[in-house]
Amino acid sequence: MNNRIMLENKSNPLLKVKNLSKTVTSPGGELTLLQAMDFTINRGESVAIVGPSGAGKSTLLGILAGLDTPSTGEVNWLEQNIFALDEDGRAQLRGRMAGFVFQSFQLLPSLTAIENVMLPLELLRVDNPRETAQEILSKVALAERCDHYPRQLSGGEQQRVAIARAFVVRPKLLFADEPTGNLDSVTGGKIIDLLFEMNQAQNTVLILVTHDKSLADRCYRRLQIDVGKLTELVETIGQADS
Amino acid sequence: MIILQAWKQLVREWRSGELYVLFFSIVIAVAAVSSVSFFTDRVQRALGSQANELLGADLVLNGANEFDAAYFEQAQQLGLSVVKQVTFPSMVMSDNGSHLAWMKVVEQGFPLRGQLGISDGLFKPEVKTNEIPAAGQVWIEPRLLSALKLNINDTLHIGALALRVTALVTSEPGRGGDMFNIAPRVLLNYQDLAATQLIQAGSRVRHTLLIAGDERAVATFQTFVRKQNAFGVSMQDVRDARPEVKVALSRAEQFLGLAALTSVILAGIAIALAAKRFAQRHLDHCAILRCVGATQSYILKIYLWQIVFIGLLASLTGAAVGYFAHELLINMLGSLVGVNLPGAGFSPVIFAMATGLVTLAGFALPPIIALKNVPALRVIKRDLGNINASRILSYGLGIGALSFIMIMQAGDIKLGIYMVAGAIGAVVVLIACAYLLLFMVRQYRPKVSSPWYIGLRNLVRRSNSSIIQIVAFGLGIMALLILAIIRGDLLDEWQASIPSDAPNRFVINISPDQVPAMRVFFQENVSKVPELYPMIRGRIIAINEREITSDSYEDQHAKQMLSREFNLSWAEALATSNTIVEGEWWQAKQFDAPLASIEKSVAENLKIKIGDSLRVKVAEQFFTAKVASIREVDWGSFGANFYVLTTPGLMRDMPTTYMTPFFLADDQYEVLNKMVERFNNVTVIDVAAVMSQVRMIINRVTLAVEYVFMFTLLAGVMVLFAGIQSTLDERMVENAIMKTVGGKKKQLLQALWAEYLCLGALSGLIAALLATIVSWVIAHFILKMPMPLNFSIWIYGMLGGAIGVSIFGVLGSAAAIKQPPMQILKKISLS
Repeated sequence: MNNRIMLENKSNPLLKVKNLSKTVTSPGGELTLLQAMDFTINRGESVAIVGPSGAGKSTLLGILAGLDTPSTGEVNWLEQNIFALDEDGRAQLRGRMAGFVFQSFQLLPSLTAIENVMLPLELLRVDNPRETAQEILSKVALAERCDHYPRQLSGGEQQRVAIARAFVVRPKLLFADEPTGNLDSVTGGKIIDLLFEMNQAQNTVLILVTHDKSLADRCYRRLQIDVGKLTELVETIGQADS
Repeated sequence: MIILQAWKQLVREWRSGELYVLFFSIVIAVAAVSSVSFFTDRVQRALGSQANELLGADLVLNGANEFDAAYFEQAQQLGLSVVKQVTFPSMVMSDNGSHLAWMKVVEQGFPLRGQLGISDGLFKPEVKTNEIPAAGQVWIEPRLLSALKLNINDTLHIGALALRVTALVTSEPGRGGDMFNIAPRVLLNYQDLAATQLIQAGSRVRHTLLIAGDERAVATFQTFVRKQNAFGVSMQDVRDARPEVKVALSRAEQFLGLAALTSVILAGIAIALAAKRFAQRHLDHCAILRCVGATQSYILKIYLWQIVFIGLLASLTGAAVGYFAHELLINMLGSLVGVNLPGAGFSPVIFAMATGLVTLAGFALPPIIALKNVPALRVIKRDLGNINASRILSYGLGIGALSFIMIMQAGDIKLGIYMVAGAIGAVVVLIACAYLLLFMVRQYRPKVSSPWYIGLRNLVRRSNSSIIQIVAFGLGIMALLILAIIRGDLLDEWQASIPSDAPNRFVINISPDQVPAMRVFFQENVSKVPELYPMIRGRIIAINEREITSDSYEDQHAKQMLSREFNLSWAEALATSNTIVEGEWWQAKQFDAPLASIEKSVAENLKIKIGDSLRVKVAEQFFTAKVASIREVDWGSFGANFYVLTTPGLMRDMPTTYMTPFFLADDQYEVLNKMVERFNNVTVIDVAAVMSQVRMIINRVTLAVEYVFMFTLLAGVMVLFAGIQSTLDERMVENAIMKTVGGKKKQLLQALWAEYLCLGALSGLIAALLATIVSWVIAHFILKMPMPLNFSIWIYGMLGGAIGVSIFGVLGSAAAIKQPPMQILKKISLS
């Protein structure tokens, strides 16, 4: 139990991790990517997953988001163990509850900015997706670039489209994988501001993987991972106080 | 709902330009196939209907009794033209004597196809007419005029009727079927038939219906006749009537089918490559969709619908483009096409669209079904979920689908199967050679690295793509080379099979005592003295002592063979146009043994095997012979060919006449005059019309293949384009990285040249080898004609492959080198 650090806040848990581990079989034998870990994340919190390269940050994020499966353990979103669902069930749950922002933006190159933002709405069969998408693109200051293709946008603009797409379904959880990794520091800073603004406005849980110390510092909590172990938990001042 | 979403997404992708390559690949492929099919279909049908002029109708029904009303009603319902005809032998008389003649009584409208040729005196110029003799008049064959010492306008007595001879029949459609009838022809009007009082109960009369009209209606009518299954009624079309035309037509169909098949192969490769690229580029698309909540079945449905939409739209566009392209070309060719082509049919559209849709589905579905399994985690880890496209098995569906289309398109199952086997064999050989090349390049480690070496290493690094490119280029070049071989060597060979001095006349009915004099006559009058063949009319009446009649067989051909006498002959040596396929030809010591040699189709139809004993009736004599061999006869050879041959001893004493085929130039008409004057009992049969028909077929096919070649070349260029496109994405990234680490533009360009020269030369060389093998197999086993080995194909293949592939390859990939690396690297981070 020494290494297992509990994060408990019974008041308002949104994401609960129980006994989570991940091992893979490699030519050199069994390889442990994540060792057993338990923690809870509450509504409105922002959490940074930090650690050196290869520590297992992205693996953890993938599992928390239901994009990958663990070897043991549970991940509960609002008391629902997402791994009790099949792949399609998780996809539908993600559509309703989660948003994603990636280092490489992951916009569909064949769709315009507004069409990229409309995509999750269309999958949810929401009425008037164009108006909703338009509205959120205005919030990220891209109202004028709606009909541009990703290749016609700068990196910062693309990441803003990605953020608009992530928030357009009003997700409860937002997962971000190195959201500023491909951006210069000035643009990166602006993106972080936007991310936290939206996070606060929608009271979303923000879980992000980052190497960027300034970004990690702005999060309410920090999960430090070293070689698959959750070794350190620091409660930062976080944006809650700033 | 999902259809709407799929459509919406498709429209968005279209706007972004993402679908152009796939869409236009299908359009061009379908356009090539449809234009080729439109053209070949129309030429083929034109050939058929022209050949029908030899028969005088599209379909001929023969029966021993008058046809009942049901036939006429059915024909009327189908909008077919019908003409009645009655034939029978009868003695005819003039003031100078009597002669056996063969009456042909016809209704106005005869012939339904082609025209009668008549003249108003012996060897006067021929005039074509659409008329028949008026009531009270007859037209007769020239030799009857000589035999009865008649003049034009003299009276001829037929039965109870006296008729005036008003013209001579010089050529007659429908004569083909029984050209060896010994008695000369008398043509009279149906209105006079009753008055002759010749038709009595028990008369030996053949009732005939000539039918013509729309080909589908004719086909329906044929089905109707088969269903009637009336006793003694047989059907005949031009193929049954003229073996030379049958051979030429089926060979024409095979040539055209083959030409169309090469365009299907090329279309298939282009679509397959584009479909693979489509799937590859949608990997990320799928992962993102999964990430934002799409289920697997949703993704599958969306893509299936998209494939349906793209396939349908592109195929329709392609079929339309193909239609207009073939119309344009027919207009440009104008008089070269010569005949009035029948209107375009609908079947080419179906074939071409099926090629587009089925090939697209076959090659796009496996990767797309795999797409739904792309893990959503790919959004974080890009190396996950790559489709391993080099696995042949995953393309089994596509290969199967394309094979099906090819067999259907070939129009000849055997030809289709041979081509499919050839193509699949070629894929296997190409893959093996590609592996060998990659293995050899891996072993090659020069001390100093050159751009050439970098180029070759590139091939190894992208081994999957390299293999696909070698297969695509190799198969494409092979298809083009096969077409080149057909267009050059095989069509030349076919044309040469009817030399300009091939026999165009037959003299029949030469009596044995006239043989020496006839030989002398030929020596004096024609440049090439022909051989004279004995000819005996007879019937097979029993096989292995079991009596047979036309009712013993279900098969139409067998019935027909047994319903009349056919020509037998005896021979010491085997003629060059004959090949023994089973058993052995007799030797000198067996010349008196009771042995027979049977033509293959007779043996098949009558189910005769080696060793069977045949009882044959000749006039009122009988003989029995053992079947010693089965022969294949080249009916296209215009020689003297016989269904049954025996040893000389067996039939030497039977009632025999002699016949010979010979060549007479157009300006040697007086030789015929002299011949008929000197030997007034012989009949000269002019087969120049049949020959020119066959020559016409060959010329049309040659032209059609030329045309197809142009279109297929276009499809070949498209394969090249699609093949180059298939590695463009990878190449962009590699070149960007090479440039960032200091690669010079010149070096990269040299490496690119090296790579494509090597790919092109290897594909071209293997393709030449494969094309030679496949063409030889098709020539030998299907077209049944020799194929001269032509090594220039190897040079064309290798040089053409190397030059074509490298020039297009370098031009097509130049963008990958010219673009600043940052732009490309930025693009990668987007996708």
